[in-house]
Amino acid sequence: MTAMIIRRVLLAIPTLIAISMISFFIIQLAPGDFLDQKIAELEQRYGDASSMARAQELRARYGLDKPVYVQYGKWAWGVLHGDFGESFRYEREVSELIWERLGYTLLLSMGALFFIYSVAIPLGIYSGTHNRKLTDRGLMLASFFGMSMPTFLVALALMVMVFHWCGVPLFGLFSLEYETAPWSWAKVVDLLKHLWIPIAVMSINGLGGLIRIMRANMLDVLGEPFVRAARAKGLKERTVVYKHAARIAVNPVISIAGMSLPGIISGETIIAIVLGLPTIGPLLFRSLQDQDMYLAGTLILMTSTLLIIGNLLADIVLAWADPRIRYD
Amino acid sequence: MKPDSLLTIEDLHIEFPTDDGLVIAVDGLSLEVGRGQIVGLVGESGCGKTVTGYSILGLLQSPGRIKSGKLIYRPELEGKGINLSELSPKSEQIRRIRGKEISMIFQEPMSSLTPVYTIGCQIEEAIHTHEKVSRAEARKRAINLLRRVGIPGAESRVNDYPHQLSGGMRQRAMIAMALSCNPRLLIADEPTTALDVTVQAQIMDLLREQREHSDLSILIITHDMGIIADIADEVVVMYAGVAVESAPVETIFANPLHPYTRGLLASIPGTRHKQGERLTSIEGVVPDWRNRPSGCLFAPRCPERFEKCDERPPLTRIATDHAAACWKAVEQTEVVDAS
Amino acid sequence: MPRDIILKVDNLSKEFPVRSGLLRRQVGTVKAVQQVSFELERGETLGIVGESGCGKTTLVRSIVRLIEPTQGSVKLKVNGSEIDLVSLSRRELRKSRRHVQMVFQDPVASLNPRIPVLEVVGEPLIVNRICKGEELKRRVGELLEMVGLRAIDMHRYPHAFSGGQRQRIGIARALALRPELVIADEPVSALDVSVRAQILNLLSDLKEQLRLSLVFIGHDLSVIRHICDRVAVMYLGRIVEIGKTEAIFSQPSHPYTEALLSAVPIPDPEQQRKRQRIRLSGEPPSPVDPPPGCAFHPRCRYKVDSCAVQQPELVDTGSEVKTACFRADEIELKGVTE
Repeated sequence: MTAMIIRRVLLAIPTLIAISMISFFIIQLAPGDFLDQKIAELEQRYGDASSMARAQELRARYGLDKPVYVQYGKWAWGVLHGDFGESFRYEREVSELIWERLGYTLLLSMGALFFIYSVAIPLGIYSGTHNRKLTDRGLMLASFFGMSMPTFLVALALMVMVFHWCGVPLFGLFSLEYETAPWSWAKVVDLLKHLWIPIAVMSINGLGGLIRIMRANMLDVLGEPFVRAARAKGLKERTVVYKHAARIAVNPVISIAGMSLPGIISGETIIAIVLGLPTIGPLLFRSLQDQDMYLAGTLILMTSTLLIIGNLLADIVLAWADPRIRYD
Repeated sequence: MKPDSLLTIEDLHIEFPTDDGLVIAVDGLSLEVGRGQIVGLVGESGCGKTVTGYSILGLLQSPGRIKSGKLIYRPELEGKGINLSELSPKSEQIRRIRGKEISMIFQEPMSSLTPVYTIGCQIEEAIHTHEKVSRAEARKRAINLLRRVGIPGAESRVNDYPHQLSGGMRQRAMIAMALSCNPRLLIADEPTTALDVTVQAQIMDLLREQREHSDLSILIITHDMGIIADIADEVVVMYAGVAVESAPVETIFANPLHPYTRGLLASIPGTRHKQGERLTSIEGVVPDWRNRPSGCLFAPRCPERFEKCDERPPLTRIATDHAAACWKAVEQTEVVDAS
Repeated sequence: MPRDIILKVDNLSKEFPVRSGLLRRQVGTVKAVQQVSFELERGETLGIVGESGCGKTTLVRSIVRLIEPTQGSVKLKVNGSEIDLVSLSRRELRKSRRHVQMVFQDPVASLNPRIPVLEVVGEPLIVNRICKGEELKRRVGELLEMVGLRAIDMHRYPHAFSGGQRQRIGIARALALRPELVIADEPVSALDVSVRAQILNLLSDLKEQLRLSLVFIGHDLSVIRHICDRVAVMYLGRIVEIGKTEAIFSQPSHPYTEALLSAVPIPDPEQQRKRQRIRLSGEPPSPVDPPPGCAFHPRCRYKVDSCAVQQPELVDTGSEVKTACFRADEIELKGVTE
């Protein structure tokens, strides 16, 4: 087990290096660089060539006059020392820009994941044990809708409905008065009040899918010989369903948790744009448009790291939950 | 002399309503298991023997159901016994009988234990379900049971997960679990089909020992005539959902009356054939559930059929302890009787 | 008359690496098949018996190189020339595969249910570009009739057939390329007794008719005894006894064979209940770490000190049986009488 964790961590290092390299070079593939855009902007504003000199100065400062592998090397060396470089657009340290947003992203995606699992597992068990009953069919229809609904539409509809009935504009994670206020108990409460909408919207697709998966697992496991053997011992039906069947049916769902993280995080971008959330999705989107390399590179590196950690955690939980799995 | 009856099955009918139509799995089966007896229920796949075993404990998989018939357990109780076929599969009464009065072991020892709990934990769970004992007491009993079924190093094996045991050891653990509350009847459904012959021999010895040890009755369900010859006292041969012949084991082998039993015995390579000689085989296949013959179910494959076989023959007592469902057999005995 | 050997397996071994730990270093080997040698005469049936994990399936798969053997040679004599299957290149191997075909436990279960019998049986003919179109249909029709099905069945799908009929389809497929050697891996184990007899009869008929040589793997000793001229008993990757079937069954010369025969119940209650039971304690040891000396010695009733030290070789005992036991000459073992 320890060997597995160490091996996975060691394997994560080349993976991360490869991801950061590939993303860095792909961003570079587009013609020109951030400064070309900047120059075009400056020329429009001032209409003379003096901006060229300023551009050259900036180019040297950011190292954009050097070949791409040198740029990458410089940036990667910095990352190893905790320096993620500077954002061209915001002209601020990348690290200043991302930590808070990363925090909100983590909060939202973990919230969504938790919500999906705590709702889907009981509903899946219920559905699986009430196979072909009316309630089961109703749930399946609902989950089908959940799976196929475009999230941005749900987000917009929710915003309209909440505004219509409660008169509160639902935008961002805070009410106006708390937006810039320092952290306080009241601010946390305000955050929680706003949080449920994006979490519900982010969960809706995954929830529909997971209920169906859990139901299918449950139906499979209920047909297993050990379930019949458990009944033959004289156990209560509840014990058979929860202790013997659901306990096994839930295992594959655990490994799905690791895999569903990327979906949740990338799905978050569009919701965040619609709902005006201060998460990394919109920031990454913007930085890619701008070719704001160091910012984009750092964001991709961070999300990849999160995903690798998420997958590793899921595997550890799975190994703990299922004694048949031994990674060695 | 016939020992006291422990379980009597009378005219059992089991059916599975499916989208494609009604599948008749058991079509009027009667048999009796006496106290301390080992009864073999033998037949080929799809003959309804396993389903019969499940029905006794209300373990039929949906949509299967008992259509009619009686499953009388311990007829001496209150003068009429408990009719298991009247109990709902979800009822408290049947739950108290499962594992406590009647236990069952299954064909797949590999998958009949829940993979995420240790075998000790699963045996203790069975004990706690039926008896109020302390955890330490349950653990002690679990270890003793494992010892009783011949698992070496029971003290440490009790903490093993099922996947850490070999197939034979898992079947032993299953037997330990089935015996944990001292049941009166053990239903063993193809208990050694998935095991190697040397392990099979060990398990058969173990079952025999348990009978000696605790006056246990066993209903053994199998397709293997060798196992029947080895362990059973009484035999019921099933074909297409009905019992075609029943008799003590020596009689079945020495004097089989039903053409199906005869064909079954003749198609076993070995004893009755010279090496390389052609085996006798039963031509044709088991009737499809969609068009079951209205007469004798074996008639389409029977070399001895005659006009009367268009009518379904009942299981008829031909000698004191020998019954067959065959018109020919009935006719021949009557001739013998008359002479 | 010189013996006409069609297959000569010499010193064949197969090891699988066992990896573990942080760096997945190889920490051991599963010695699945160890130094197996035997010969098969043309037209002969050799049975290979043993319990699960004894390596019988790995052995035959190494022979046809579905698994690459670790060492040894497999010489096949066809049309007067001898080929070593082990040293052939992939391309050459494909060509000589047509001489050796396999029949599996349920060959149809592993095939696509949407492929009609025509293609299941005809596939080897199509792949080897032997025939197509009408000619293919004619050949498949012949094959189906040869195994007791109707030619018209070629347009049906495998799942529409019963277990016994599926095995007939599997046999027809194996015979499509007119092989000289057929290797059958537990071909009747999944079948009911009455159907099993039909398939065994079919195999004997075909063997006669087509002058096939047959290697028959099984765990059911009564089937082996019925169909095989000679039999090889395997234990933990090695052949422990090989020879004429009747000789081995009536008087085995290896203690493991004796125990194996004793474990199979005789389908006759009077004989079965009278006979002396010889029971093996425990289960076969792991092939990762086999016991030193004779691998069977920890469970053997006749062991002496030297059994734990030295590996007995297969030696002739006379009576056309070879056995790997030091005490073969001194001990009197029980077989099964008719």
